[in-house]
Amino acid sequence: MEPLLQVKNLCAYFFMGSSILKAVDGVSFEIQPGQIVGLVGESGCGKTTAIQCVLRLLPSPGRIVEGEIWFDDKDLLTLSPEEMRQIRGRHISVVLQDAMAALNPVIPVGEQVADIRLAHTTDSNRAAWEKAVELMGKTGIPRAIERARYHAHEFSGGMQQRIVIATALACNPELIIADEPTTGLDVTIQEQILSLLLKAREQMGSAILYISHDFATVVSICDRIIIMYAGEVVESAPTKEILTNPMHPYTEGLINSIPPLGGTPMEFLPAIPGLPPNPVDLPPGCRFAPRCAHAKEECLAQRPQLVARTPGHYVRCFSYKEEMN
Amino acid sequence: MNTLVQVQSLTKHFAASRLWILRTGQITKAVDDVSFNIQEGEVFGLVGESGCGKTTTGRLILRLIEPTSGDVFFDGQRITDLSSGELRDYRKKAQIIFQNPFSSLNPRRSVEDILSDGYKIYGLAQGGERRDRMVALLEKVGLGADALERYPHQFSGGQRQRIVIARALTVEPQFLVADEPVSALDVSIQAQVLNLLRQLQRDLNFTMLLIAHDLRVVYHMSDRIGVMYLGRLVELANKQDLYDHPLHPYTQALISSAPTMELGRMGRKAALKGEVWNRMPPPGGCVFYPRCPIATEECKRTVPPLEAKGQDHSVACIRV
Amino acid sequence: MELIRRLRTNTLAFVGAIAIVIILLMAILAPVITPHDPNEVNTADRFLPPGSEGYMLGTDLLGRDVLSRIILGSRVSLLVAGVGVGMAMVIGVTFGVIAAFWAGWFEIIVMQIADVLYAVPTLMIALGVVGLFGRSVNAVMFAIGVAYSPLFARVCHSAVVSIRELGFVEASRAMGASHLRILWKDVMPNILPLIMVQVTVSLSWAILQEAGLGFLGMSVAPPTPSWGTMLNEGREYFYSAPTMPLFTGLMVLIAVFSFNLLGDGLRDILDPRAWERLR
Repeated sequence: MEPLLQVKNLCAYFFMGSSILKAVDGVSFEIQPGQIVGLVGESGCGKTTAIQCVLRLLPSPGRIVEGEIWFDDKDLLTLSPEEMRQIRGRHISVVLQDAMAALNPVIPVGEQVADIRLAHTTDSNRAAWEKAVELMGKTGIPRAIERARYHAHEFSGGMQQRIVIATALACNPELIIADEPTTGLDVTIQEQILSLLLKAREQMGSAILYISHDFATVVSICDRIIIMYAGEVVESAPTKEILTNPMHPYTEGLINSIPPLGGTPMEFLPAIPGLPPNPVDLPPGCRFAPRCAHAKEECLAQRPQLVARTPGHYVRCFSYKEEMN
Repeated sequence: MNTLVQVQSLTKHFAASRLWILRTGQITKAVDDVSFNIQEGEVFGLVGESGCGKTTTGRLILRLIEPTSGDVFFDGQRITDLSSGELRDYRKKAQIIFQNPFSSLNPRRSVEDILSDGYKIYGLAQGGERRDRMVALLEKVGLGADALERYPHQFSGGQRQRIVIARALTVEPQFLVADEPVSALDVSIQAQVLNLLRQLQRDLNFTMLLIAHDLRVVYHMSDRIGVMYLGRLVELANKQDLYDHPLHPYTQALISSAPTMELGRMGRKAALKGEVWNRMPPPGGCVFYPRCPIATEECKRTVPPLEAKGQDHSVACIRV
Repeated sequence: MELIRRLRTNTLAFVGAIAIVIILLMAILAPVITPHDPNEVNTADRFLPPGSEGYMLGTDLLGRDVLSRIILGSRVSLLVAGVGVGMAMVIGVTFGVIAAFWAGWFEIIVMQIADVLYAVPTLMIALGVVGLFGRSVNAVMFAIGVAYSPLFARVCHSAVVSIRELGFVEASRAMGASHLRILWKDVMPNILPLIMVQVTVSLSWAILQEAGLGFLGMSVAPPTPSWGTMLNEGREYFYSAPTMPLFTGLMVLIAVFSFNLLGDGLRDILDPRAWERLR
């Protein structure tokens, strides 16, 4: 099957005076139609910049220096702004973290959902409005007919996020990019939003690129997980394999940093020491080596490549697993 | 073990306007009749979601805000009616670290200036000795002496949080309230800071009230846990008991919706419908009534009291 | 100092700062640097055009050297602006900060008074003051002080309202810091940049204000020159001998512009850095 989205060797740098911030440095991954792929990483790893590149919404002084982004037989990086505009919202839609910021406070929410349809389809005003109400109902907003006329601030955080998801689903996009959609929401609400995203995939066949720093939420809905560190992909594999056989020391460290619920209480968490590298001044070899318990001389001198250790399971590390065997 | 902190029927109501003349009768019961004790040397965790009142409770215990009614006792002394001099002494014994490492440090003051506050206010040390103590404290939290001359914006989130912790420890408090100490930090840094807090607690022997919305963090760090919902304390138990035998339906929901690293979690039915703000709880009834899967008519009319249901395990629910 | 280094990076602000320094020096050294006695009447040489021998900018209706009068006139203008704004700053900052700090009734009353005062045109306040105390430099200074204080009060009030909610203020309270300590250590350093910007902006307005009031005959009495009174004098002869008021006006323009540039530059340099990071 042809992948829906294929990112090849993406490099995006921020040019600030004399220094260059390498936010994304050689990232490659793909998403199959209808697949939910998780992008996990901590702040500064480049995950947000990567999706800004896919959407061609990279703020200056950032520039895409290299790479290809293939979506549906077209390299998005070669499209004109007008062509790109037609893709956003219609074929690739976005759900961002801060729903209150994504919604216009002075326009009724129903109109905002309808607007997406009006922009990309031939719907009449009436048809768009009806579709908007229907979507709001589907995303779990009670009394949608009435509440479509309300304004954003009249809804709770979870409800606002549902409205944002409704806007994202408005034109049946092939790909939904969700950037930290549940961060900041109550845990009981998080679950509801995650269910909603799963439903979107089931009923509409949309693929989802789910970005989060919370490994556990990613595990709960993603088929495949990509882990990023310091602008690179360090590991990429099906969810099950990441859980049973994490190969990169950073992945393992990240998983172990999460305090376990239940089970034998431990006194200290096996934390990863140190801090991520400065993206303006990256180390020559493996970027994780300075913090890695298994680092060898080779790791500090040379940058490892992303290699498939087993079919479908890619790791950027010299010899970690071999050592363990 | 000694009881260090006693909270009795603590209540805080917020009105829509500060001026009594403009109040229209709309009040928010941020904290409603909350009672619990914290033993000396333990880590007590207070967990709950938005609007549950845990942060307000922490501030009430420290008297950073005034309670509407109820009492707080610290080491036998009633905190709620201290004179301003006695209040200052209390502040030396009971400190707080905040959630947001970006706004809890004044960007215009150097680290040295910020840390020196405690020493200056309580006359604990001067000049060279003060500096030595500050350096020792910085090293204890994992920072170097060179941090003194720098300014907050020159540090990362995790490092700033360490400075915040160091600041609280300058006055050698007996009691530390940690209000969401790691929720603004990356996961790998969270682990570092949690480890740091645990190490410090072991070394310096203070009692800690940990307030957080993440059950995983609270479970990991605490000895005993209190669960709050919309201003009320709904369950109270030691951590193992709470996890193995959660009695209150909200606690059960909280545990089952906590994101864990297991596959197939989403296949199960969602723990809880609706949201905290969906429907206002019936006045005179249980606050959890609108979302409770096992609620009855009687729950609508009764405010369940917090009652002991076993060794060191209390629940506020008439259905249990 | 860090401030000067940052100032150098912002060219416009730097230019403004240099210009202000020059004008200040001019005012301070006035008695020494004037080529002629500014008050020396010389009816034989009335209305000499600029470029005449010994009179670079010409003479006015009484044969007095225009250049010398402009130089000396800067003293009154800057004094009035400086003292007036200084007074406004002291009153406004004190009330604004205290109102925000103490909240409640006091805050409401003070801010309402500030709003009312702000709504009254400075001119009317000046008329009132001059009516009470007669025309003089003091009257103008007082009028400016009163009229501009609400500006400082409002700026400080809203700044302190945002600051008082910030974590580090609560942290200081939790540490047991007294109100005074919090004001001095936490609040003031954060509103100082705002005050500085407000001062430079107000100074530019005050110079114009003095010019305007002088123009209407409310400032210093003759023969003391001030830019405003010079503009007033030049009014009658504007169509026949415009050079005096023109040059005076140009001087006012330069001074106001310089203060404005500096103010804008300071706003850029000082404000966004610290505040953005706090959100």
